[in-house]
Amino acid sequence: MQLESLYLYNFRNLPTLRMSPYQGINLIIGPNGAGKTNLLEAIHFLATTRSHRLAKDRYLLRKTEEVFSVVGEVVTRSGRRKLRINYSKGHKQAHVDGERAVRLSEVVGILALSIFSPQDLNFIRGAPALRRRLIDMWACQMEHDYLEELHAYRIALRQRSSLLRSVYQGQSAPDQLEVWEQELATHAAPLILRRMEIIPRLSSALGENYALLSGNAEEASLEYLPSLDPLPQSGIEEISSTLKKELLMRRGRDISLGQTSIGPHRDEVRFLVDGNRADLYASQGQVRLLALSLRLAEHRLLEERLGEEPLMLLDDVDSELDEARLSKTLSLLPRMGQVFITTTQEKLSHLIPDPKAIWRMEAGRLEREN
Amino acid sequence: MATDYRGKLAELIDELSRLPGIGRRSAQRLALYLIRQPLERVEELAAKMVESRRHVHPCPHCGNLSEDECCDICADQSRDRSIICVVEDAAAVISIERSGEYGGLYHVLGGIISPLDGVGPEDLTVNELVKRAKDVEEVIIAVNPSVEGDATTLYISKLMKPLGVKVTRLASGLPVGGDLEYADSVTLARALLGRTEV
Ligand SMILES: [Zn+2]
Repeated sequence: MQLESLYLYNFRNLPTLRMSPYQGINLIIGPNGAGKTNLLEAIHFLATTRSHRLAKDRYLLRKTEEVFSVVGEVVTRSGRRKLRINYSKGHKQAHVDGERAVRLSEVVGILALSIFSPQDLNFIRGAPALRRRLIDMWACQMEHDYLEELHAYRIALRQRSSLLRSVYQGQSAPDQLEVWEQELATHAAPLILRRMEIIPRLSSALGENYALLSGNAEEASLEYLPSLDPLPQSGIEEISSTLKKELLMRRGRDISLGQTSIGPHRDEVRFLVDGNRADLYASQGQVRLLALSLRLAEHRLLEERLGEEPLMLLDDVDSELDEARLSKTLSLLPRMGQVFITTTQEKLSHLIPDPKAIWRMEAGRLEREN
Repeated sequence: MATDYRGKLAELIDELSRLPGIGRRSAQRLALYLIRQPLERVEELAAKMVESRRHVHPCPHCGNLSEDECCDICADQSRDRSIICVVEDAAAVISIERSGEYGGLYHVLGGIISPLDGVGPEDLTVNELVKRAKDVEEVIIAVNPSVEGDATTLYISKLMKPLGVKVTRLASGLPVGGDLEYADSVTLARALLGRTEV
């Protein structure tokens, strides 16, 4: 998969920007604040209609302006597509091949990519909710029904919580909880099942990449700890009925807590290095390597699913790695299809074989080196 | 300098903005429109509101809207009295009638179960439904497809079980989160024909 051209209008600090990316590795060198991250953010926006930094759309708009656009031409296995996303007055409108898309979701995924950014370190060290969100985002990309189930699950969760409080105050009868427990269990089961499938696959790809980058010094993995424990292994019906029974058993306690104490929203996902929890024991160097390995793993699984290489975006990766690991990382990239790397450091240019792939960025202006 | 509407006009805007789906700005626009109309037109509009409020009431049997003692559908002797279709509101009755695929009676719940909105079974016409269901063969639950709709369907079907009545629901195919009111007649007819037992 290739991004053949990119045009940005009023995106962040970039009044206009045109780029015809190189087919392999694109190295973008420039000082902090030049707009390098914004450029990667724009590519991510074109792929997903969202910022990878989870910024609200209005923050993507250049100051004092009213509209912004991100336009790109993508060549995939199934052909050439022109994507355009316009933002105006709080609304996004997507166009595919010049035609207005009825839903934004129509453009999502035409351009597939993985992005590493320094914020990814939070996934390793931060609260469990962040890791759950990572898995959820990931599962949503892999399985179309996941988002729908997740949405329904969250609604059922809010409804049950509300009813728990009403029961606690004596305003509702406890037996009214039953239908919400049924709804919760129905929508939880597919989520749990998907997580059971996806996490081990991600774990083994993560482990392989981590071993490569660390020179086989350590083993890394990803562990799924469902809150429903032990978890029945025989399929969706049984997971659902077991969870429903468990919810019923916990009803009394949940009423006094005012919240649901079991289910996918309480599942844990943990990174491990040599069997130890990374959120507690990993060094800064290990955390960086885990975050990077995770994105490389994600890239690989996406490639397996799509049957072609998605884009790989690496933001400021060298500030997170030492020389040895950096050159190992770079040595992996030629196999990854089209890659975009940003850096503040000139020295990276010596590690890139083809000078045509080097771009310089300063104060929102991008130029290809000759 | 006046920074907001005052007096009678402000009161009208306040009243209008309490209507469903009307925000502050729409309320202002409507109010400004109304005061520019000929007096007779506004009087006629006000009279229409009062008259409909006075004469339209829920049918005592099914909860559908009616101007007579009971609604047209309950009064129609040609309809199949062995089957009841349970819906959220009177708008859904119109939609299902429009599909032309249904000839039985209705039961309007007056909402769906949603603890977040403070709506429990006791706020709906569930008890009335239990009474009516004893005399029929089939109850079709046709609430909007959503998590709350599913929970309501579950709740009602559990109540129906001991009565020995067949309980069915609309076939899937209606967009989730969509409203029966906006479903086209063909889709709705298909959902009715392909209904499944709960
Ligand atoms: Zn009636």
